[in-house]
Amino acid sequence: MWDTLIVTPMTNILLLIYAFVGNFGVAIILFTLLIKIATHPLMANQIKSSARMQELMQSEEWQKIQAKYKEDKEKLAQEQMRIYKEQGVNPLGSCLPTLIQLPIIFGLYQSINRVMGVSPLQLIDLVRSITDPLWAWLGEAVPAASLGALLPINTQFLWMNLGQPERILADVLPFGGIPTLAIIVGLTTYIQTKLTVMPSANPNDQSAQMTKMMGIYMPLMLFWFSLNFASGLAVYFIASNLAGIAQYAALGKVNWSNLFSFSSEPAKPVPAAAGKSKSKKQG
Amino acid sequence: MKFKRMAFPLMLLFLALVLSACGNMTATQGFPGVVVFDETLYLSEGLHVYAVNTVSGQEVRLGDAPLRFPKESDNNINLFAPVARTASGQLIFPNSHPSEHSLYSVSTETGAIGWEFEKSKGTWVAGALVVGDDIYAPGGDGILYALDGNGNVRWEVELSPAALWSSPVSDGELLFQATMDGNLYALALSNGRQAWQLSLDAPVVSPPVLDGEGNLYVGTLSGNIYAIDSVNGKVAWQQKLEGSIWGAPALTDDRIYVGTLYSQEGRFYALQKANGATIWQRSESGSIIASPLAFEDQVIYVTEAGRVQALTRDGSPRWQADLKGKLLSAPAAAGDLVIVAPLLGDYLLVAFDVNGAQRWTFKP
Repeated sequence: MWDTLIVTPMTNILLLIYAFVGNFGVAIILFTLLIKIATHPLMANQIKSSARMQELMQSEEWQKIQAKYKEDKEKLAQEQMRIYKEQGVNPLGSCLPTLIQLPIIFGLYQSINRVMGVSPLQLIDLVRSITDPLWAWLGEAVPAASLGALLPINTQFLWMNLGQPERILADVLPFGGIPTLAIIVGLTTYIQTKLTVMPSANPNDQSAQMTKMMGIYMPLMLFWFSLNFASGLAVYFIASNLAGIAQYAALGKVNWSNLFSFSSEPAKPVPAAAGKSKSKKQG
Repeated sequence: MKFKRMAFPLMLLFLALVLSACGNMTATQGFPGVVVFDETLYLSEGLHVYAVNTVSGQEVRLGDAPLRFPKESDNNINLFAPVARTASGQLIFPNSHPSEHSLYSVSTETGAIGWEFEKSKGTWVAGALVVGDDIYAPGGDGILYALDGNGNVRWEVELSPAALWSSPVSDGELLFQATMDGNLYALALSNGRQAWQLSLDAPVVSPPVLDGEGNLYVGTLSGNIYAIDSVNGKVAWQQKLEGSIWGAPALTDDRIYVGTLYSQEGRFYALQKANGATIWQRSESGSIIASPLAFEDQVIYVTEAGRVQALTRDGSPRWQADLKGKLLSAPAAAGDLVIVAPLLGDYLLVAFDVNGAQRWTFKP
């Protein structure tokens, strides 16, 4: 079911893009952007909901009830629900879009992995996706998308073989060379996390702590993935990070001042509709 | 609070494990390589190459220790290509790890590595061909390497920008190598000079099969099977089957047996060797990835769903067995036994007699 509904369609769309552009690296980037555009409304909803939630949590009324009912969790929860209701904020508003996006992210990851077909079991799945009765017509309608034309996938992109972990100067340097792409993945993930962090009123509260930890662990985790896995996935991580920053920037939610801020002071909030007021002045 | 602080790293760790499971890129995902020499079956099972006595089903031992490579599992060693054996008793097999590209020579007498060939830059998938003590190894970098018995390069020829996934075959004069970009090459065994080249319609995963009359039979992933004159590379006939051909065909005097991967299902064909006409065909609920085995008066194939199916010459069921796990590797004949190697099954090997009675199982 998962394969039929998510992975096989995604695999075939990725293959169709590859059939047209003829370069797997470019196909991964375009496919990632396509998915980002398709899920942008969900992402925008999530960002807006998070912002509203943050605003609410910084309000005087919220702070008051936190202090007043800190010993009575039940009452605190009741009061929080009352404020949510009054302000028209859905506490799950920022979670639901994320939950809906998760299968898409997993599917995207699996389809990229599958298309690279670097091992026999992956290639079996890839052949199966291409020859799936629901999708086989595509190969007949578009000759470039037929199995014979698509396979083997050319995994060469710039200096990389996308089916292998990437290193440069591997023959010259000890320890197997420099993992350039993994470093870029780590950096872009770090930058994305820093730029898109929502401001927190209290740096010691739980969500602020989690955000801080995410800023540390997420770049490390993706760096580790990119170090060990096929570099096609690293290309996806980089494209996804940059597209994510662009999404936040388009919504005026990029927090540039956070990029070089390493203190535990409260993060500076993004000025409301900063982009709009600037353009008004210019006009 | 401490637990809550730990929750996020734990969540990320969980995510890392899930993504690793989805990707499985740290180890190349292949299926067991099985080959029988005399009374010893060599099983390349991922972590180890095991040597198993085909009569008893017991692991072959060197003194107190089993003849097993490596002795202890190693995360940087991933073995699934079938083993080849030289005339002087060296076992030749590649490491299919994505970032370690060695071809090993291991002594059958000591179990120790004799030499390692590390020139190939891509992930090894196919096993090598051995002619006497000479080794012909299809590399993951698209280069076919001809080595002497000490691992020195005699000649090499780049055949494809993509990895070579099928093993070569030889008639003693020429060597025939299929490629993933759909070409079939005939090269002189002595120096690698190209005798002819034929473009096929799609990638070829399995080795071509050579009959006694000098004809080659090869199937492609688009489902075409070709009969080719090995002397000049001319196509004698070609036949389109339903599905993709992954495993090499099995030959008898007048027939070709071949299975296909048709979405989640499988098709099994008996074709006339003379012209490729279909004699009969069967459908299976599991895909047929592995080569069939023409064995005595029956033909045996295995399916991805774990079925071992024996048929008579006219396609009637003779016996069948359903095993736990996937059957993706070709069944091997050893004396009067048929041995299969399930992937993710209860056992690494299961042996049946000609009537389908289970004779032994192997699990280290």
